[in-house]
Amino acid sequence: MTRHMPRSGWVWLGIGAAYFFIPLAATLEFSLKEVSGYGLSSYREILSDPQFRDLLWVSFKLSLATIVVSLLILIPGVYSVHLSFPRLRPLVEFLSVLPFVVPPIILIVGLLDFYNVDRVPLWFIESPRFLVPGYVVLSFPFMFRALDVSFRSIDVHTLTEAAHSLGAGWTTTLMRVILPNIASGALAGAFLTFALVMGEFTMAHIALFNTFPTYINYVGQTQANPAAALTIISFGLTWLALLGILLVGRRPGRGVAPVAGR
Amino acid sequence: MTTFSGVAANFGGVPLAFAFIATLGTVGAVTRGLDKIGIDLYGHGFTLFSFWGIVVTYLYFQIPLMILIIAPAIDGLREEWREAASNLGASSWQYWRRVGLPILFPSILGAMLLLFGSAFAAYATAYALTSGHIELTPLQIGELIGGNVLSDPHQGYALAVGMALVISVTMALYFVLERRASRWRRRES
Repeated sequence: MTRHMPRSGWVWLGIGAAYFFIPLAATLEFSLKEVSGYGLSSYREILSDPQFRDLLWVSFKLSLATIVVSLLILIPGVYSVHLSFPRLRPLVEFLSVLPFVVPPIILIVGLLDFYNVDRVPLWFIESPRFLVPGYVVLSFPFMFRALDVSFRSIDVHTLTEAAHSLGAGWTTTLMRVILPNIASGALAGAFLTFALVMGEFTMAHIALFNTFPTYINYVGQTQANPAAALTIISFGLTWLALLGILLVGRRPGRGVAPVAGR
Repeated sequence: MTTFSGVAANFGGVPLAFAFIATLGTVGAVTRGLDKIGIDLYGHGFTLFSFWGIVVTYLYFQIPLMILIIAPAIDGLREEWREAASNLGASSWQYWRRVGLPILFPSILGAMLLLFGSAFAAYATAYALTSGHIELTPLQIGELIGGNVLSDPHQGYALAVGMALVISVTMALYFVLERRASRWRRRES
């Protein structure tokens, strides 16, 4: 497609690149601005704010919890769809598109209504862990796709039968045979989920919990330059997570060996 | 190209709003730059915190999203079709008018529906940009649900159901179009 790019193509590409980079450059400039000249004082201010560390940690724990819960549900789930219930695949695929379709604002309205004091213990509702089920739902499409691609690239039936004929039970099969083979997919899904949770604002904000994104918003309403610094930091986090996915995807030999295990 | 699009499409939410405030806000870099060459954006009635300001900001993730969605469809246009058309004496314009665009049409329409859904549902960017002071459906729902003095949760639920209906219709149309579009897609295995 790019063999013969007409001149107009380069012009459009230039406009696109400008549109992509100018806001980033402007934010960087804004974050470095001081009363006179430039410097790192905005970053220093943010990094020394105890709230920054606390809420970054809250969001980090939330994303870890989300990753663990969704892997626990989805690895056995996708495994059994591939192994025993291929007829359920259209249904699962349909379900995996739903979180794209249902806006987070609607999801959180439903969650707030469903998880009320009559149904769920208070220790769950009153802390940010309340958000984990919602985040698991939000990350479902990404996690499912990543795992599904991995499971497609291995021969689930042969691996399972080989493991069983060597005397392995279901747990051993899953942990020692299947898991090493889908590790790259699971990691890619984990990175995507991490980026998602570290940037999720709507649900946390409506449910009145303080997380890293709501902290960015709070800083933005009060101090403009540190908010630009936070924007750069947050963009860096997203970028790192996406870089992680690229790196994981670039190691073909490891995750997709026909039969792994020692 | 696709990698960049992927990164940009993921750059949403609150940080995006602040990036645009630093760019096109009242003291943003581009606003000041244009001011220096004699164009007073805000004097001409533009403000980032209005309908069109939000449109400019949403475009930042919408354009890459469009590229990601439409690229496979454009890749699916076979070289043979173009060759066949020019063999029969079609000009480049005729090829696009009679062959290329009709084949791409369902994909383009489908992509537009997805972009509509994504912009319709977006909450964080608009909220951070306007501190919630613009009347968009998601912000209204947030306002009505989120523990405000004026809150009226039932009206919020009603709005949420209405929004879900709009999105469902959008997605149903999308799936119909997607089925039509996949007729021409090369089966790769």
